[in-house]
Amino acid sequence: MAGITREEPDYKNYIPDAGLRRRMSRVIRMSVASALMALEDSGKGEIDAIVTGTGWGCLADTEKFLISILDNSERLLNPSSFIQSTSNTIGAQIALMLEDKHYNSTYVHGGSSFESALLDASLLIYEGKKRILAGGFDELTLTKSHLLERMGMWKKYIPGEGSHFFVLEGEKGDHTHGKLAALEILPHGTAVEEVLPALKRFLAETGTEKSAAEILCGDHILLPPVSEMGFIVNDYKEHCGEYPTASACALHQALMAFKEQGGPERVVIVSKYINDVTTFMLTERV
Amino acid sequence: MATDVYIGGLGCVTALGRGVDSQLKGLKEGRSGLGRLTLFETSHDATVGEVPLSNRELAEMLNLPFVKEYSRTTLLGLAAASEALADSAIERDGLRIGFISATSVGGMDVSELFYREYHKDKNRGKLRQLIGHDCGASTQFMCEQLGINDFSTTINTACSSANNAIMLGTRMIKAGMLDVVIAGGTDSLCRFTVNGFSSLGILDRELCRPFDHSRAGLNLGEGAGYLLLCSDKVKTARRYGRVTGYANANDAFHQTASSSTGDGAFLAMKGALEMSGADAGKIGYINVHGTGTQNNDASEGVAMKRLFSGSVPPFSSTKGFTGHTLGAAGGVESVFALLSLYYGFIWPNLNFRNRIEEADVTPVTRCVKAGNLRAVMTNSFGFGGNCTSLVFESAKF
Repeated sequence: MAGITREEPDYKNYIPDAGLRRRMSRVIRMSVASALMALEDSGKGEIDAIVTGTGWGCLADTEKFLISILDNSERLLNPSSFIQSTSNTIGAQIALMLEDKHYNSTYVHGGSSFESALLDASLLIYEGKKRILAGGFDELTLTKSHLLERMGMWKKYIPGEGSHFFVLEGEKGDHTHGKLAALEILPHGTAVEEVLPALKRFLAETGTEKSAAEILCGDHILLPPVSEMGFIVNDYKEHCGEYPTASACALHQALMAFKEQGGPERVVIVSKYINDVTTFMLTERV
Repeated sequence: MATDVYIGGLGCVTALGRGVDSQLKGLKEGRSGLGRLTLFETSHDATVGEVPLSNRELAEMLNLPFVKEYSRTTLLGLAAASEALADSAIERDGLRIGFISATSVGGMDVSELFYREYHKDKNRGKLRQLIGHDCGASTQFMCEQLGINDFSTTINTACSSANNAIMLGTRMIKAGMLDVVIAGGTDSLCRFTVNGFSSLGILDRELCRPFDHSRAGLNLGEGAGYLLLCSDKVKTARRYGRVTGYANANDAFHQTASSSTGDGAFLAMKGALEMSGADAGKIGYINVHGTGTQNNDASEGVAMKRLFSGSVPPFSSTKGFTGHTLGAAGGVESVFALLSLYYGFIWPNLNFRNRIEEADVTPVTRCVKAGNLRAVMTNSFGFGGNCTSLVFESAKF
């Protein structure tokens, strides 16, 4: 059970309003808190956009509302869980807490939800925006875990969940942890045997040599062949488990690796959620 | 020099029927598609905008085998997206094509059937019914059917979702990442949203009356609307217009309610207008969000007055025709705004009688022929304060 959150931060430090904290579902609490942690770490608060990604969305509130429909025969329902069931709740809550009226969007595209958010954030930087808050989050509820178990997924994968936020800037600053140098989302329907050649092409196009780069790989099929290519390879899902936006955790791991003296110059993140698309990210020490 | 982004194809399905021609006919005739809910059993006495086609009929139309696991959201989306692609008559060879879809309910219409069984007994419920639950699943299925391989993603910012899909598609073409993007949104009616909006007390059992003094809530609708966006180098059968302005802003006021000052709506409209470079007088029509709730229409009206002062352009809400199609609304209403621009009509705001107090604005209530429309705007606002406005300009001038 590597990826199940056993210890959570003291949310009081991030969400002081007790009433608000109580109304928030777990995914909202952990995501809002991690967004505020990222902003704190970035050195200042001002941002130009909030972009989020989630594969599963706000499952707990969705289920709570579904149950209330069934148990109360559609009568006198409490709207709170309905209101919080939509996937953009987190981005909206962050905007509310920061009183931020800028661009705000949410991607819900399975295993490439976080990558879609990063793509949008990169595009915003390209368009001249200065600081973008971007994150990926998913919460494994008991029901989701049970359903994936019934589908036989936990025979092959480690259950996981998490929330990670980042502040992206167009220029290197005092608080910069690393650089997102390239991002690629392979098309849906790419055959299994085409993924390794695609990775080799990505490495060649970005000039990534095995002498200076490590690979964080979340695609189990690719672990042995990439290792055979001579790269140092680590399975990042050993730390966070399987969930649609686990690549956000991998990005966090890559940036932490750059903090260490003598760590890699580059980290390539290879991600894949269950049967979804494979994605590549190239991160660099700055 | 940024690339111009053109609209070269339209696709739409709503309570007015299947296809862009049905929309055009219904809008011109001032014929509402609203009626009683028949799609599923519910204890709510709701007036809704149902697409007049069963899932079986939709599947047949799309040459898909009829399996119960296809969500209605997917079927409606595919009907509209494939129409937009066919309408453009593009030669696909050598073009980088993306598909950006918006949905707020995803496959909920099927997963709520699953959950009914699962709730009784945790070993019950057909797991197949969950395949389409996640919002992204409907997009991926549509993508496969459309044969689009270069890029796809899904956006959910509640009721402003589809405008954000169109905005992202435009930005990706401008940045040179793609040549063509089919962008829009799809949502089907389901128990979840009927009960959700009912629990908020904002469903009107009668016909919705956007921007009217007596408005008492919204009618839910369903449908899908997609635009085929392309760069200037792509040849299409027609050019319905160009996307020249867009802006996404957040009201940052409340999770569901809009501020009385309409900050989010004001900033979205202002941003889109400024980006288009058009002066306010050039906007010949605004397809407003106008849900028919007390809160939205007052807030949006105030925002329009703030931006346009005494000269608010002719505007209407078309929710009286289709109901509020939630995540699809921006797609459907962008199609309506482009039909307005291309054919030169201003669509009527149905069921309006008296002005609202908070904002001194009056919608257009009859279908008006407007020969030389140069630019139109469309608004979509959603839960979480998400507000996105788009400006389309004619490609004729």
